[in-house]
Amino acid sequence: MLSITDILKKMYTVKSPSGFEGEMARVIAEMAEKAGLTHCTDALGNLVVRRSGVGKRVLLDAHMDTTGFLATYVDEKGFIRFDALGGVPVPELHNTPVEFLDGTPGTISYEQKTALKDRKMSSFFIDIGAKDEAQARKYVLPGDAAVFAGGLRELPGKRIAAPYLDNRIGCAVALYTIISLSDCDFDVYASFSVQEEVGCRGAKTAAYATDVDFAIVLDVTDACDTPGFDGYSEVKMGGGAAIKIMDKAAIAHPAIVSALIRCAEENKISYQRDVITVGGTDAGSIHLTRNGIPTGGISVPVRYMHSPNEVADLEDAEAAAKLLIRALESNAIIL
Amino acid sequence: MIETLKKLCTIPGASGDEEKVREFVRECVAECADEIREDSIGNLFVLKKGQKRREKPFMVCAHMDEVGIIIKEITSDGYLKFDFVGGVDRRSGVGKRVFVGEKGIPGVIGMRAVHLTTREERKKAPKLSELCIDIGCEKKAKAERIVRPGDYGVFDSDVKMLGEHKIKARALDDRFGCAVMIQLIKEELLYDTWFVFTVQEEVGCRGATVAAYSLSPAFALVLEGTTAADIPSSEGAMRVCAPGEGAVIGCMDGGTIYDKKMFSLLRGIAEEKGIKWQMKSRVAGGTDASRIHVSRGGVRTTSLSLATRYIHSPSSVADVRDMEAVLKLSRELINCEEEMLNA
Amino acid sequence: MDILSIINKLSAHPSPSGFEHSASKCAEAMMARFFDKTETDKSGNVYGIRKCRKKNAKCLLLDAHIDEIGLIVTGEENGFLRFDTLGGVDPRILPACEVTVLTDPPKSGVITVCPPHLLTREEMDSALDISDLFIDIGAEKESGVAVGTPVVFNSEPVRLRDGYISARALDDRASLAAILLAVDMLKGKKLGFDIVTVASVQEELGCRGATVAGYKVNPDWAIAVDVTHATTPGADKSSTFDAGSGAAIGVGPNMTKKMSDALISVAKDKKIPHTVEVCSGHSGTNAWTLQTVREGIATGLISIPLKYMHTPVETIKKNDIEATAKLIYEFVLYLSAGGAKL
Repeated sequence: MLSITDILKKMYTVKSPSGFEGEMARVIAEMAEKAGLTHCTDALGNLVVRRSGVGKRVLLDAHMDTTGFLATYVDEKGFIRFDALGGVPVPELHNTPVEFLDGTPGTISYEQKTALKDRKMSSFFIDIGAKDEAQARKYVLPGDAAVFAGGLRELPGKRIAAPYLDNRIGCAVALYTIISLSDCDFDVYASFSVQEEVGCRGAKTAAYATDVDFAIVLDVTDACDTPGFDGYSEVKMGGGAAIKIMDKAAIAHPAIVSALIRCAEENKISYQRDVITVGGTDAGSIHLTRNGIPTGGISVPVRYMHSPNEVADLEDAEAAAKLLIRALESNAIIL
Repeated sequence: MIETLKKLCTIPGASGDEEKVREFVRECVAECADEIREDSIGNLFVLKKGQKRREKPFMVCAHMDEVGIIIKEITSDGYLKFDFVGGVDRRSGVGKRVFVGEKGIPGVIGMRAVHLTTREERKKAPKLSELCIDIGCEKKAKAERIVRPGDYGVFDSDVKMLGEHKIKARALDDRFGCAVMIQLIKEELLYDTWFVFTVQEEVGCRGATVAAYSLSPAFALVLEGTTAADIPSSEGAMRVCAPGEGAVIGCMDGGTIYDKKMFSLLRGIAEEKGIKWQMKSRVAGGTDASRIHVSRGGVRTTSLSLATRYIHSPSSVADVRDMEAVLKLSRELINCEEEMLNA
Repeated sequence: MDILSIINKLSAHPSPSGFEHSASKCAEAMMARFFDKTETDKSGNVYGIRKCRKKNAKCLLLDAHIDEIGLIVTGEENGFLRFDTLGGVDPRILPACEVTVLTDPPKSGVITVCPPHLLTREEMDSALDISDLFIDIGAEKESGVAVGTPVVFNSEPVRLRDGYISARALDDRASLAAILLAVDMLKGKKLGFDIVTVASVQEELGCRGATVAGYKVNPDWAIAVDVTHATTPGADKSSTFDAGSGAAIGVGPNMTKKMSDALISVAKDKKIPHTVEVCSGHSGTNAWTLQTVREGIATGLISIPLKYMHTPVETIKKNDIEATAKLIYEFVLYLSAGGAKL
């Protein structure tokens, strides 16, 4: 059976910036199919995997898109102007290697004339090494997307570094969970949603179409245990599954929060309480769908979010999966 | 189509006050529509039957509303304090003429004369609180008889041609889209198509939100005016798009990543038929698509836009050749075989 | 002939400073109805002359300037016209402003502005500089417009409530209307001196037309008729005049004291709505140059309160123009009757 690491490694064979998740959907669908699960894709590109059950309907949501860059203009010298797909902090852009979806490599750099503090997305460009516009256009056209270059690297212990652990690690938890569930009454849908990074758009339609009784969102949360980043939240990398209590877009349903906490304590799964006032997840869209869907979340702490080098601890991901599996199999969540 | 557009651009219709536009559209399409209905927020749904049916509706949409003015307060000396409805750069409002209220009372947006300002003041754009509309009334009581807080207003701007191909008017965004839809409704179509004239786009795409829900379409085409910044103070990518360069096919904007297959389909049609098209070189603005594509279980949505200079100002400028390009591409798309759309 | 028709007629003729020809022609045609004779000088000033047919008669000069503020083309980029200002134009009123470029035939244009969707809040808070702005006449590549072509705001007169009129260039056409109205009222009255009215050019560039007009006419008395600031929201009330308060009579070193005193006493006697405008130095009008032409001219100043001066929507109250006309009329009668020893 696939481990979380196996799933992650498969996911790192493709690119999936917001709006360009097709390849990722294919990779995940393949793994789900091998495990004997059914799946379908909707108008926006959400991949919904299902494990039928006789009980209540539950949605596990993990967004499969990542932030990225969209080429908007090729100038006469062959430099490419772009805009961000999702929120990419400007400091992360300085002389950073990127790759277009077809593998064309490039480097993001900036207009020297613009002072550091005045730099915005429009001060940057991608250099693909083209001589001129005509040559550049052979490789890249406006509308093509790029992502940070770089794959999965293993750090000491069970820690890993890579761009886009947000939210491939959440996807891995969701897929691992739905594949691993054995004795479970719930009718489980796992939506690998599109376009979270540009405003939780995919989850909106996935939640509407699946019309579930409750939902759990698998995503990442900021690990605030690095120098100079204290006081923002208490979540630490290696501190266990982060049970969502509140973020800027949603307050987790209290019954789900207490059920998850009880389940973690009974099963001695390491967990932490996740309260943040900045940033949100698909829970923001899902809990307001139709006549309201009780929604909770389990997140994996990640350092250096939205940078080309996010760092996470696989043990936190394993704890998240274990917690979710135990909670579903033991019918811990009763609304 | 251009003649219809010229008329549409003279009708006032700030967001929330679209009635006059709606009635004009209704008159225009009355004879050729197969079904016309209006919903609670004021969207106008027009069904045009074609030779064939589609499995689920194809929705074409353009908004009737425009950016404008709403009166907030009448001062003791008869001036009107106001707010802009929708995103107006207040610097474009200074020294302009307006029509306010039901009866279209003429007024001017005045500002303290330049002679009475300090050098520091002249460096800054006047605050909205420094601007007011002067309709000539000297007494609050008198002004109250003709204008009430909550009354809407629009800029006073006529329709005229600039040079050979450019048209100058108020509210090209998005009366142009309405004109294209009216034209298509008058034509013979291959498939049944729903044309929705939406309200309140400029204040958050509110009409489209409910229209898409109630129609539950499989496909949507949004016709819009979009941000052309091809003026000498902006270069390269900062020009975004340019009048005269063709129909703008939507790839991504601030509210939507448009459907990739429909994008390719439109691009293919444009190249095959020799219709000029362009893309925006910056991700900016948003359209009704932002609400339509996430409606219910999701709607495959695309857009065709008109590059519009000085958009959201009293005097916007666009190219009539681009309008024809949008019309042609729209016609081709809504007549596309079902299999082509699903391919 | 009423005020509105005078203003409407003049409005069809753009007259940016230095390019007043068309409006001067129109003013001359109008003057022909009120005066015995009209003339144009080398600078473009237009004169209406009413003789009293007495030998060595004295002469009163009534001045209103015919020019208006405007823009002038200084170059182009990709068919967009670069421009500078003619007179004191506030760049803050320019974005998205409609203009007429005075080619033959004239071309309509719009002043450029970036879509708000692309701007930050900070960008929208700062005023734009002339160098950021261009005129769009819909030209595709080359505009075909010569450098030096003048440009004016494009705005038709409109009547607002309570007798207000809004139009471009009411500074100073409202004053010309007041003078013509006064001369019309004087029809048939026997006067002891000549009256010359001048529609002078290039006031906005430094009162240039009035300088030569004063020299040419060499009058005994001169009254400059111009506009002053009417109170608008946010303006300092001490330096503005309520619209509807009548003619503002200038007082200060720029105005000959006897002229100011006479104007004020006539206004009081005849119960003409008026206020007193104190100018500590330069009045900012043609009175400044007229006062020192040749051996000096006894100069007075009457100003009409005007809102939103130097914008396309200058707004004035009709009553104030009428009060100014009445004051000029009564002052002429007073002067003719021997008045104070002026």
